[in-house]
Amino acid sequence: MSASNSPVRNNEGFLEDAATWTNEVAQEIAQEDDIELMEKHWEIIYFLRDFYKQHEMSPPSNRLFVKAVREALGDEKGDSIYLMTLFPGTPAKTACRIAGLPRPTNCL
Amino acid sequence: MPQSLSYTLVITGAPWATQAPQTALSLAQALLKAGHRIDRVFLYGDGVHLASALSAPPSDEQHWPRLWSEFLSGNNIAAVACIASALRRGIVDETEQARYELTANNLRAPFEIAGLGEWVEGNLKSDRVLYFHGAH
Amino acid sequence: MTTLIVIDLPPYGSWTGREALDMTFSLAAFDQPAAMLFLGAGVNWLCKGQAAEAVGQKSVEKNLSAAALFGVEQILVDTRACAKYGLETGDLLPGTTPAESISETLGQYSRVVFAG
Repeated sequence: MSASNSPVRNNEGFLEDAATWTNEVAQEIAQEDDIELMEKHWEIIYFLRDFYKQHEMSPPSNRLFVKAVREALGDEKGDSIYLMTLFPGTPAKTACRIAGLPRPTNCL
Repeated sequence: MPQSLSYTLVITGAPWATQAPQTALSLAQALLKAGHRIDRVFLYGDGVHLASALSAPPSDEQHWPRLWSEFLSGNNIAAVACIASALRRGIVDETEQARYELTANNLRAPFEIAGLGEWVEGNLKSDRVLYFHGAH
Repeated sequence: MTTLIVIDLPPYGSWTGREALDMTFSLAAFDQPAAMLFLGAGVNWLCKGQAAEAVGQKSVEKNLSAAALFGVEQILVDTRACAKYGLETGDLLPGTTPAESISETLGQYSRVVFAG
């Protein structure tokens, strides 16, 4: 997908309209963070999108993100180092951006 | 001399809509007079309107945002408006103005914008946490 | 020391309850023990099958269903209010704990926060 027909994103790279998300869009966003999406990334991305659908919110902090992953996928993946390796920076924020979920308010 | 305690004050009622900021200010003044300490004032929900730099009430009425900011500065007390509450209600500082590409900012000094973590900390550290709500 | 967050307002009519829920989640985010009590008209938060999209809002039912996952210890519900609103156990979200005596429940917590 070329930059010209990419969906609209805000100044922090989050999609303005969650409905415009596709796997290709996810790849494009990930590339900006130098992340090449592998199976283990997709597992977390789909988990987050499911979580959002089920609870109508993203995990509101990085800690709760790790906790939620642990509940769903077990201790090995629900680990801050594991998630940090997959999604550098603040893992919850990076992963939400790639998963096409709204920008967090930085409240927590 | 009775024991001196530390307090966090949480204000959730807006000025001119509720009496919460006024009641909280009277209590805050009384606390200091009695030798207690105020760790932090935390504005939450509609309470964030108290941190607006753009309130302009008639000159013969009390100006709660100004009175509060003078009290806070004069006594060196930290005051925070919750970021999530503030963003929804149009109270922003320069950082959030840039982040959300807004046309202006309006946070009154010495209020700062921060997250609920500041409230959680008050809940842990202060001897007492008092809430000033509007009627509902 | 567990903090009890009390919601005594019905959902959707104001933002106050939502902001109290955010407070609860923020305690969980910092690993601070938290519990919730739904009191009076607040018990309507716990109704199953809410159609919040009809009023253009997010579902508090769906938001609340993340509470246990985030480590919120207990969701207590005022049984007398449930009777008043015609809510039986089967009408409520799973995982709630009945509170028969509100004064006794409140007495068990030294940190109590009412939704504004």
